[in-house]
Amino acid sequence: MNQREKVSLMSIATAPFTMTAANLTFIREVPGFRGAQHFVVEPLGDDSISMFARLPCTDTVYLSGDQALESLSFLVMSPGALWSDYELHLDETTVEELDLRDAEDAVLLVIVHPREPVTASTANLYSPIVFHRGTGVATQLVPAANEQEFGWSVSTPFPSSETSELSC
Amino acid sequence: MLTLTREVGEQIVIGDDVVITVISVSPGGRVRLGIEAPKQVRIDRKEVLDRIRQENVDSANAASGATADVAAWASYGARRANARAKSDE
Repeated sequence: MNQREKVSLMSIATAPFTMTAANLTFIREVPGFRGAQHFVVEPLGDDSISMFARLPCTDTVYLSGDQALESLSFLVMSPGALWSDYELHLDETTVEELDLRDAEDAVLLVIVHPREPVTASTANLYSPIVFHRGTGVATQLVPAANEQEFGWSVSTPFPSSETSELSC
Repeated sequence: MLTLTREVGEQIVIGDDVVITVISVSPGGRVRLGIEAPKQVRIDRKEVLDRIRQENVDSANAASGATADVAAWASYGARRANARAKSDE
């Protein structure tokens, strides 16, 4: 049977991760962008409390055909900062590809879809980015399960409680 | 496109080391496949990969404008971090 259907080997803690600068090398192209494998984590604001980061790509990237994109950049965040119950199980292949020895080696980021106002934004909790804290080797997960089975959507709304919490 | 007719239990071989087996076909038309392949070969459901691709493209497009307003996002993050710190006390 398919190796990817094996029971997961590693469960990642999703405690809030404060953004720090890092160079990421994806083991394969980020889905949707041909050639996109090298990115830089650039924390927004004060490094000590930064929750969001820009994730610009340093490669020449193509959407389709031979027309290169002028630039490619994502907005990313640590899922644990807003979704404390978010839990992720990595399959054996991903653990091997990233050379993760234990859960502490792994860092999770999710891609934010910014909207106005900020609290109306969504994040892709279905297909997070995982990278090795020491080496920067990264991948964007493509789960075998569909979104309903997985329990999280590619466009998960920011928690509504944030609005009231922040207004206090 | 190559079209093949297979029955339950029959197999298709792709290249040297990918084998697809027809496990079952339900009356409703759902086909269950078994796939044997080396670990380095990616096997994804196409509709799942397409959805992730599209969301990545949409998010990157939206971010190209939004991250220009770095201060607003940094401010939101700082307020959120402070709220969490208070709740942890």
